This record gives sequence, C-alpha cells and structure tokens, in this order.
Amino acid sequence: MTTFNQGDARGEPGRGFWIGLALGAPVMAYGVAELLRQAGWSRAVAAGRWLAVGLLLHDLVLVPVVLLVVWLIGRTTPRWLRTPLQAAVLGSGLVLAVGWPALRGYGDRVDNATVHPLHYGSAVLTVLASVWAATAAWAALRCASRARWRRARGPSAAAPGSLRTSRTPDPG
Amino acid sequence: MSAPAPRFTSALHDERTAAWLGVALGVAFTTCFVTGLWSHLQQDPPSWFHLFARPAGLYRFTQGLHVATGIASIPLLLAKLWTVYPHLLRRPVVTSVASALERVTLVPLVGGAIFLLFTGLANINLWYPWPFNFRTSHYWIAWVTVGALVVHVGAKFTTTRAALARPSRAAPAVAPRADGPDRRQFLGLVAGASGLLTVFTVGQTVWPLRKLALLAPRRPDTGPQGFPVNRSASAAGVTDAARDPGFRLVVDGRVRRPLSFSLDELRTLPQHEATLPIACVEGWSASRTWRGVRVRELLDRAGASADARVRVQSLQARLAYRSSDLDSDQARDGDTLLALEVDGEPLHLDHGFPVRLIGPNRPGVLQTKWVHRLEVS
Repeated sequence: MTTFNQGDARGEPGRGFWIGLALGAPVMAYGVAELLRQAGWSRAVAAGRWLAVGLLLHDLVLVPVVLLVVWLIGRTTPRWLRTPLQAAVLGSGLVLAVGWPALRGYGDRVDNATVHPLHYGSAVLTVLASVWAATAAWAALRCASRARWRRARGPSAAAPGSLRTSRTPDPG
Repeated sequence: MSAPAPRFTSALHDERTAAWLGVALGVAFTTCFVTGLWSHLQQDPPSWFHLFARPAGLYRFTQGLHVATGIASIPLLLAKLWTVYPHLLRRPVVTSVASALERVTLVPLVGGAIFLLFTGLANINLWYPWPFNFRTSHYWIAWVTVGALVVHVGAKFTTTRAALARPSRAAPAVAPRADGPDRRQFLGLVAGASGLLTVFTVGQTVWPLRKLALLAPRRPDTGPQGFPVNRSASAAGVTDAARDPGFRLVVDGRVRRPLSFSLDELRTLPQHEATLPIACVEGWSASRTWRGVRVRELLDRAGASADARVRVQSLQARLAYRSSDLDSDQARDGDTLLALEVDGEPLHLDHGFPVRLIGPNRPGVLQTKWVHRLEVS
C-alpha cells in the first residue's frame, strides 16, 4: 500500500499526462468556447463562479468538517463502534444533503403538486431509520465478534492500540 | 526542498483505494456523459443526426440511467476526493511545468464534477437557484469536465494500473489503524452509500420500486390521472385557449391539402392505442396507454410526402419547448399519436388537453402538449 503521505516522487506526470493533455485540452476548450458562445459572457462567468465556489466549499469546508467528525468519533467511542458510527453519521449527512431540496421545498410549484409529492420529513426520517437500524445491527455484530475474540484469546490479547494487519480477523 | 505534508493517519489515503474509486467514477461519469450527449442530441439534433423511433423505451432507459448514475456518483466522488485530499496539501505545490499543468487541470475536473452533480441534483428537484441556464451550463461544463477527465486518466493511467494489479492481500507498507475500516470495508461502505441513494430514488423511473422512492422528487404514480406533470396548463398560460370550444387542429405547410379539425372531428377519425412511456429529462418516467389519431394518418390525409418532417406546435405562446420536431421515421411510426385520451379518459388539462403528442423514444419535453398545429416540411 502506498499512501499519499509518502512523498510525491511517483506522482510526477509522465508521458501519459502529455497524451491525456493533447486529447483532453481540445475537449475542454470546446466546452468553454461553446459555453461562452451559447450562454453569453456574463452567464458563462456566473457558471464558472458557481464551479469555483463549489470547489472551495468542498475543499475548505466540507472535507475539514468530515475530518473533524471522523476524528471526534474516533476519540470518543469504543473501537467496535467507531467505524459503524462514522459510517452512519456520514451516511446520514449524505441522505440529508440529497433530500434537502425536497425537505425545504426548493423547486415547489404552487400550480403543480406533483413536484415533491411526499411528506419528505417522514420520508427522510424513514431512510435515516433504515441507515441507523443497519448500523445498529452491524455494531452489535462487531461487539459480539469482539467479545468472542477476547474470550478465545484471553484478556491480554486485546491490548489497546495494537496494530493489526489485513490478515488479522477484525476484533472490532 | 520538500516540506512535510500534514499527516493523514488513515491508511485509506492510498493509491489502491483511489484507483478503485477512480475507475468507478470514470465509468459513472462516462455513462452520464454519453447518456447526456444522447439526450442533448435528441433535444437539439444537428442536421446529420437521424432521430429514430425505436426501441420505444430507449430514452426512458438512457435518461433514467443518466440520473440514477449521477445520484450514485455523489458518494463515489466525495469518497474519492477524501481519499486524495492529502494531495491538495502536498508541498511543494508544484515540482515542474507538467505537475503545474496537471494541478491546474484538477480545477475543471474536481470543480466541474461537483458542479455537475449539484446542478443535476437541483434540476431533478426543478430548483434553479443560479443566474444561468441549466441545460446549457450543465451540458458544456460536462464537456469541460470530461476533457479534464481525459487528462487525468492519462496522468494516472500507469499509477492506477499498477495499484490495481498489486495483489490485494499483499502485506501493506503501512498497517491500517486498528480503529478504522480497512480498504475493503471502506469501499463496501461507499458502494453501500451509492446503493442506498439509488434504492431510495430509482423508483421514480423503475415502476416496481416506486414505493421506495422516498428521496425522489417525483413519483411516477402521483399526479392528475396518476402520473406527474412538469409544466401545468396555468404555468404555460394555455388554460383558456385549451378549453376554447372553437379549438382547431391545423395540418399545413408542405402538404397538398391543408386540413383543419375540431376536437369532435378528431374523435371521428380512426383511433389508435399505444402503451408508451413518458420519460422526463429529470429522470422520472411512467408508462401509460394513450389513444388518439396517428400522425401518419393526418399526414396521408393532407397529402404530405413520405419523408415529411413535422413541427408540432403548442398553444403555448411563451417559454421554451412550445414546439417539437418529428423526424420522418418518428412521424411515420404507427405509435406516434396525437393523443386525446390516456388510460381511457380524456386528457387532463395539465397533461395536454385537448390534444398532445406522444411518440416512442422521445424526451418528455418533446411530447408537446396542447397541440394546435402540425407544420409539415
């Protein structure tokens, strides 16, 4: 496994990059030119601004928040619960993000009840309930598996903070 | 001299995880691009593009796939960007002209991907909080993003192939932390998140799963006469004109005998029944049984040529999509109808009363409602 923390000697672009650039740059240029031609300068710039803001919000807000949440859960919960809880919290965030326009009624039309026809508060809660039920089942399995593992190996085997390899059964 | 990058303790910030997610995203974005291109060609066909009528459900499939793949891509993209996030903070920022260029092309790649998924998600909710046209921007920024994707694939091809070729059970260079998921779990969770969003939205086009479409902005079984509406008669400003007892349907243009029919006269013509989907660009679709007059019947009565093209015009006087074109194949298809009924009832006003176009393999926005004229060319 090569993590991205291990320097960038392997990351220097090679011949493939130049081939990709030769093929991809005209496609990008075509897209920009047609966007400018069809949307007009001010609307194309507005679209570009939305693109840039989306990128900045992701890199400077969303990822740091996710890292913080993952770190906080890692610091405050027992090991068997960490991954399921992290998955459930991030999964819930995803469900809320995808359901947000419907929850808030963005796009609703007074003359058209077929846009967002459901009661999305209940609908989203139902989806979240399924996420958390699956998480609870998974966490319970991990907890039971960890207890079995401890019983089989004895209490000294569960040294806190010990590293495991990919061949080692997951104690939770 | 290289400054140490901030430490990311998860062993999932690795090439193999990024490679798997990259391959999945590459497939997903290519699928979206091809199906999006297809939809765009349907809506704005260039002169060389031949619109064909069969298979009848092709557009329903391609556009359902486009939207479902886009939704499933959201967790894939977020996971991929999280995996490679340490690259963003790498020092030095650039090491050569090539690395600088590569970094620059990540702006349209990542920014474009986020833009496409966000605007696509908003569009299926009919939510347009921006000051630009959705279709133009979504479509052309897709070209920019795909161009940047080609560059990225070129840059990462060797690394990706090497990362995927490595035996998955080989001893890792860095041991995973005891409290985090391993790669297989992580990828499984990402796939699970994509699956979750798919299961709770795809029912907007996959009929048997409609009751599960809890996160979908539309339900294919909900609306007047049991299916959704995109633009109502009042939004189109046609309520009075559509209900006018003096309504006439005109067939004119390049014909030997221009025709004009009242609604009652249309009902006396031979009626044909066809079960066809109405498949919206926003990804929902519903199959219904339509009944009305074949377009080719009207063309034959008017003495139009066999290769005639038809512009179908709505009573709608403003807004986009107030007319649509039928290629000769589509116009001559036996299931291309000017429908007067759906599921045995006269059309609801919001579904195009008194007359709407319905034909096989067409985007919903081109199934023109409140039709009052067929202009033959």
